[in-house]
Amino acid sequence: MRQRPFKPHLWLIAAVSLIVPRRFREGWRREWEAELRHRENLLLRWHRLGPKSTVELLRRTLGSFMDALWLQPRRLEEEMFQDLRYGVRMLLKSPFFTAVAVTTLALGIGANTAIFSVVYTVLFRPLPFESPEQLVVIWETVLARGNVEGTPSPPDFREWRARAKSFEGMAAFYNASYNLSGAGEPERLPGAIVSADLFQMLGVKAAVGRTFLPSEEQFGAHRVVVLSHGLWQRCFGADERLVGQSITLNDQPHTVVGIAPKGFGFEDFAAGGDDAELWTPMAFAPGDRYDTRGNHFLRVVARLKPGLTVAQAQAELDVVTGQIAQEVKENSGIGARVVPLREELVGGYRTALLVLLGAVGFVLLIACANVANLLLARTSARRREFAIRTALGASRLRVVRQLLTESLMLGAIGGALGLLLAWWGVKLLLTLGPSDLPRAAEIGVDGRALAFTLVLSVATGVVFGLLPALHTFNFDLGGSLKEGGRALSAGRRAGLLRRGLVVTEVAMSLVLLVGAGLLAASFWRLLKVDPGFNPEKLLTAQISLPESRYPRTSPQQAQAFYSQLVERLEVLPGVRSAGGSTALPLAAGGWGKMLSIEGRPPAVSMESVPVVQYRQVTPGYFSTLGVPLLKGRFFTERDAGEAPPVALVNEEMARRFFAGEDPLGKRMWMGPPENLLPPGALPPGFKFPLLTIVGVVKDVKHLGLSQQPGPEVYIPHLQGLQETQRGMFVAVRTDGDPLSLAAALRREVAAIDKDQPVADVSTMEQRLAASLSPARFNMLLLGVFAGVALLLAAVGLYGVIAYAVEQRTHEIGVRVALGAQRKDVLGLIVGQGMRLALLGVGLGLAASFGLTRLMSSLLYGVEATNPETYASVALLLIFVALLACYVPARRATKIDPIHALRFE
Amino acid sequence: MSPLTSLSYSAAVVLQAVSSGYVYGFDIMDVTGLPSGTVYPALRRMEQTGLVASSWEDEAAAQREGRPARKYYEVTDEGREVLAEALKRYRHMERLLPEASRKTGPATE
Repeated sequence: MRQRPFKPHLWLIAAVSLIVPRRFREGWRREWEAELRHRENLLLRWHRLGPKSTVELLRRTLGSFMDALWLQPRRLEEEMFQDLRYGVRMLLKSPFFTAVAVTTLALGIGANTAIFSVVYTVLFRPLPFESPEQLVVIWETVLARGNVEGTPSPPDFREWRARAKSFEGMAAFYNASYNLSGAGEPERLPGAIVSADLFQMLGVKAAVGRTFLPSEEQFGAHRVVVLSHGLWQRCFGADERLVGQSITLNDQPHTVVGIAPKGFGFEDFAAGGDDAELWTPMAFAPGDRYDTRGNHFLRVVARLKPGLTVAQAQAELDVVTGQIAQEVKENSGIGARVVPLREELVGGYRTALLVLLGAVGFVLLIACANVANLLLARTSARRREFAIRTALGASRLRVVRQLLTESLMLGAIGGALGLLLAWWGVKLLLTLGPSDLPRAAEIGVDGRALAFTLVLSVATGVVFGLLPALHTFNFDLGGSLKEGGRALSAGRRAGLLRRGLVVTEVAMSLVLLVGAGLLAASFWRLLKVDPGFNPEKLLTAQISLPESRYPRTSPQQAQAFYSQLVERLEVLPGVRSAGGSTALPLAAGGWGKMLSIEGRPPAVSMESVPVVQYRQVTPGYFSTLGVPLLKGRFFTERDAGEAPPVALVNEEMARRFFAGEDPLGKRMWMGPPENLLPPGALPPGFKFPLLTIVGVVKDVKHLGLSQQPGPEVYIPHLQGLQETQRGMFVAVRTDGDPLSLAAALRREVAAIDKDQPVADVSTMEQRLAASLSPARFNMLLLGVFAGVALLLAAVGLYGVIAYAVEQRTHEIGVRVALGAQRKDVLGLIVGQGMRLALLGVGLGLAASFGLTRLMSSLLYGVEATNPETYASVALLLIFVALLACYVPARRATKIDPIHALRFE
Repeated sequence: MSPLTSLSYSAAVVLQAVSSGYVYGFDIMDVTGLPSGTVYPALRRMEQTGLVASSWEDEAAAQREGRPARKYYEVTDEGREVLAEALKRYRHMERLLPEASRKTGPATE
């Protein structure tokens, strides 16, 4: 029929059929042709076959294009399902390979996602304030004290705020605690006293009511409070009518003006302290001694004007502080430093988190290298299969796609398992993590981490799928078929690639092991540090007496409270002794005070007056904590009121100020030389009490085990200064479990003052554990990563050697047949593996040398280049590598030459 | 999703045509007036979802007429159920198509 002269519809069908998926093409064409020919026949029979009907036929034929288009998705679908089905079959066929590959990926991806979730939230997620990038923290610096960052005084803050033009707003605050009473059990709440514009400057609006008015910064108008959302819900049932009503804080009525929005917590960011539960405006009574240039305690946050940089603001503040220093004698040498808020918040954790992120990235790279290696080995083993498929008509693209599908499946399964691991890992991280990790409450596996995992798993799948896929292009297909798929060398390049991957793996795991080893050595050293006291069986708690009932003007009341409390505690059953101090090791507290020593040349300027740590303690404090006396005597009950003022100093103080002399009997006062003070700075008739040193005690690591203690002065609390009298820590040495006495402690406090809450009850061992938790956290995590990396590298090495043994079966058979001994074969195989391992170790040592410097700030008592750590880690790795090579090598020795030769 | 919910009006008409004995693509176009670009995709979709099944007519019979064998479609059991449901929805549809004469049926019958 094809000889008929003009049949454009049949040509059209033939043309359109080209885009029909190959699987349907034949049937599709036959169906259309049969219909068209049948119609032609009918028209012919009816004598209707003219140009008009031909055009009509052609019009109908045009629809075939729609038909062919509609079949397009099935092309992909079908082949994809084929790929997937085939992929599943192949993965199930070698369950060991699949299990190792999936586990490897899951570990890498899971650890990465978990760490990424934490790191992203802590370091990178925008702070929950309006335009957070404009927010900065401003510290005071004092030239004479090495310009370390300190806090400014209220008058200085007001000068900065008034004069500096680089800022849209500047606010100050300081931490305070409040006793909430009048409704049930009294409660002590962490809070902050803030300048009125703090909320406005941060761009935070009250959830209910309002925040502070500028007028409320005036003394007298300041008895107002903003409550946190949490406190409002917990204690006041989220009652909106609370706004406008009065509550009792520190025995004073305060009007609630507003409720902060949910989740607002500023002090947690800026001060690293507890989440504030309430805020009151900052106002000083006229003549308040806090409101002087000598009292430095404010924290300052500010918002840069849009477009201004931190450096520009810094330059302006330098000018402003310079001007103030010229006008005010006390301020000479005092400057200011502008630090971006984000930097301030996470600064301390940046190194640790970035080291962990880097480490975990290494783990993922090792994981990928391992899977790539596994796939390369498998691809080589499957050359015959691919050759057959290609010979049967599969395009190379199709084979590559099949491989990619398998890789993506591995990536997807690994990714899914990894996400599960990550979810669990984040929970674990938060449990193990340091208690003061910034923004910990916001951390969770979030959408971003999920996206990160997906991208990772897909990219991993593509990367390690592509390597073997590209490799298949280099096939000599005929050769593969002829060789029977058991090539003597499965491509020199592939072999080189695989050996390179193993060397990289070994090198990277060595870097991780060195890092973990250094952290472990640091931690070990920290544990062995003598804290200067005995932390066992010690219960501690914090008490803050309110100004209203224990006024500064009559310090005897607060003194009596603590004396009575210690007496009551000491007679409790199960208590050995009790004591109190204004500062406890590893807890907050402590004041810095200026020091002048009798008979020494007086300081020439205010900023050259030395500052030492100052604590007031009860007589039994040292024996309760177990702080050894090195010289002289402890305080007694007689060191009170009218008795001659006495002091104890720590070793560091004796070393620094009384080198080569006996400090006992020396006299000093806690203040500057009087001639440096402006006239009228001291109340009329006031003289600093002259303290006589009666003893020297051992250094106590107050700030943490890794921190060297500075000079410290202890004063008996019955001779203490007025303003430091009301807040104290109590410590109780017990016979049994210290926490079992917590209830009794609260009871005794309530027996003296029923409205007095007790805060921060914990054992000294808990405080010690908390202080070690950042170091423990880093060590554990890096240790786990290094362990995983070691395992993965061992698996990788094992894989390469096992594969080599398989490939060299014939060669080994020949050698054995020619008389090679068992140890020769063993040496041959192990030697091949160990060359790779040693090369990796060498590269790893060099890399570690460069990389571990980055983590030197995390180390304690160990250099980043500590040779013992390097050597032991290298030995460990070599040992594991030997093991990984030995197992397949042993198999090689069991090769039966007859069997091996028959293979050919 | 049941096939019913995805059965468009045109697909229902095509199904009704097949059920009424118009079993070849071009005959379906003739009786429904739908273009080939609608009829064929509808048939493919319904074949994929199992509402119709296709077979080739007897090769010998076709050759006697000097043309290749044609493909014809039949309504499956599931297709009949779906059609019954569709007829409830599109009530007027049943009267739309004339009953085909047995002669136009597939040559295998």
